[in-house]
Amino acid sequence: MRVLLVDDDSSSTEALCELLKLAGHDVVCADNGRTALDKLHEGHREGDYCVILLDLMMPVMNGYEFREEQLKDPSIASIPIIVITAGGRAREKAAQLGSDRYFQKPLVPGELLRAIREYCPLPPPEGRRA
Amino acid sequence: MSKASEKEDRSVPVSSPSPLPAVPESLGPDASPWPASAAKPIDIGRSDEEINARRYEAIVESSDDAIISKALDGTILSWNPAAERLFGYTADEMIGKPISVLMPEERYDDMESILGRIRRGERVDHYETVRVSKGGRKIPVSLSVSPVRDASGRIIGAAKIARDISGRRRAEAERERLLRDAQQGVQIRDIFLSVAGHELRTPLNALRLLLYNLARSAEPPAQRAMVERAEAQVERLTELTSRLLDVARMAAGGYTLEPKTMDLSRAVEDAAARIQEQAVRANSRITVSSEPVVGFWDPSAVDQVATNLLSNAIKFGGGKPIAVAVRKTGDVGRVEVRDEGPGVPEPDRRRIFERFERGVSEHSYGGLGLGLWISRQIVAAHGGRIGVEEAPGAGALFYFELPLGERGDDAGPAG
Repeated sequence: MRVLLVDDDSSSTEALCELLKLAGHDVVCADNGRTALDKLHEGHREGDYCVILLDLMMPVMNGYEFREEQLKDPSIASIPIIVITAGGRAREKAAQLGSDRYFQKPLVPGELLRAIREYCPLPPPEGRRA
Repeated sequence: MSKASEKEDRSVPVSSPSPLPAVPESLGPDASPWPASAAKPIDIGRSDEEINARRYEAIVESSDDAIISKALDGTILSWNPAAERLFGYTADEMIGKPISVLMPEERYDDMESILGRIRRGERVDHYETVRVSKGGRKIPVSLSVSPVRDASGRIIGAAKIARDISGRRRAEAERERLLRDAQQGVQIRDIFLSVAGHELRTPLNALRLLLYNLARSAEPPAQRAMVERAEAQVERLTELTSRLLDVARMAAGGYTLEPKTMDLSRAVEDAAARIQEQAVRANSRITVSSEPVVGFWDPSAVDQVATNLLSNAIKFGGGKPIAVAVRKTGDVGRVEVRDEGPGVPEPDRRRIFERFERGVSEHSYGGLGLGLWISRQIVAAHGGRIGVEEAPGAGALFYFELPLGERGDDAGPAG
């Protein structure tokens, strides 16, 4: 069960990847909606991804466009999204994408981890990576 | 006074020993010595018509508005000095000419429609249009045109009053320009603040995440302590940034509440607990006395108001206790935050809730001067009120009240 992180700000993405890995999650990163779609389809099996952390303002393909594409494809449409945005009106924007989960940057790590765990249960302790 | 009685009055011969006022030489032998407003005309050997005609002539001559009379075909019959000043043509140049001389090409239709109305016996009032001066300058004017009738009542021409409205037009244009500039300024500011907010939050996000990771891998305790201090500074920056953004949103009218059923006491207690450490560092202690007050409010907004009042109390009332009370009063939930600091003098009690205002000099205390303004917006959005009173003894007592709202069918929205 993987977490897909879609965000163009590389400093944030690296730090968040590291954080999620430290917390025991398997993470795949994409820097825009287009690469995110590619990652989702790469050797995809249903149930590979448990949640998508989605930034909104991104070059090439933004969060809104990505969501539109995602919902068109039945094999990935049901993967839940958590909106993460540095802009204002996060709740409204998340609702626009059909999600009630959102976090405003700067992210509070504890809150984000709790939300991710709801979708991505961690493997038992002995299976965890350091 | 009826016509008959006027006649009677005038028929009384002048027998008074005091003669008529002397005619000023400058007016010439024919000029009437009576001002147009003289209360009672006296028969000085002229007919009524003559006197009236002279009176009207004096008015026309001294008018600031151009007064022009014309025949029904548009031929100019009279032209006063104000017409001369406004259009630049003398009476000699204009009498006998068609009125169309004054019309810009695109307004030729005006003439037919005005003359048409005059022929039907109608008046044209304050019709705003454009006329052309001798030098070709276009002048915005307001026209009032009335039909002129002969003794039998037949319409024989028109009397036109033209007022130069270029001054008013300039003032209107200027006002519109200022309004547009102001609106544009507001829009630019709001867009700027929202973009700036996004740009500021992005690096804050990276900083916070990096520090979080660092805190979990930093081994020597000295390093860990430094990381924690850096984290505290990130929290401060985050707080300031979110304030700036709140202001941008509120100023743009884009602020919306997310109300839920909540307990006001619980929210205030949580805010107090979170800020207690900061109070203790300032040698204060926050005590809360409360009773459950349940209503339908926005929890994070309420938390923001409570936190703001508490942090002000710590800032200005450090070293002394801070007492918080939450209770139900009538149909509102009321929160009071009382400090024992210098208090807020009466003249400042309204001002400090304005944007960028502060109760004290910016040289002594930091802060953006936005906290109370934001709090006021939040409380107002809930339909409540916020204010400050003198605390019994000394210090300031800040309060806010939120309407409890509808309960069953017994009341409409409170507050």
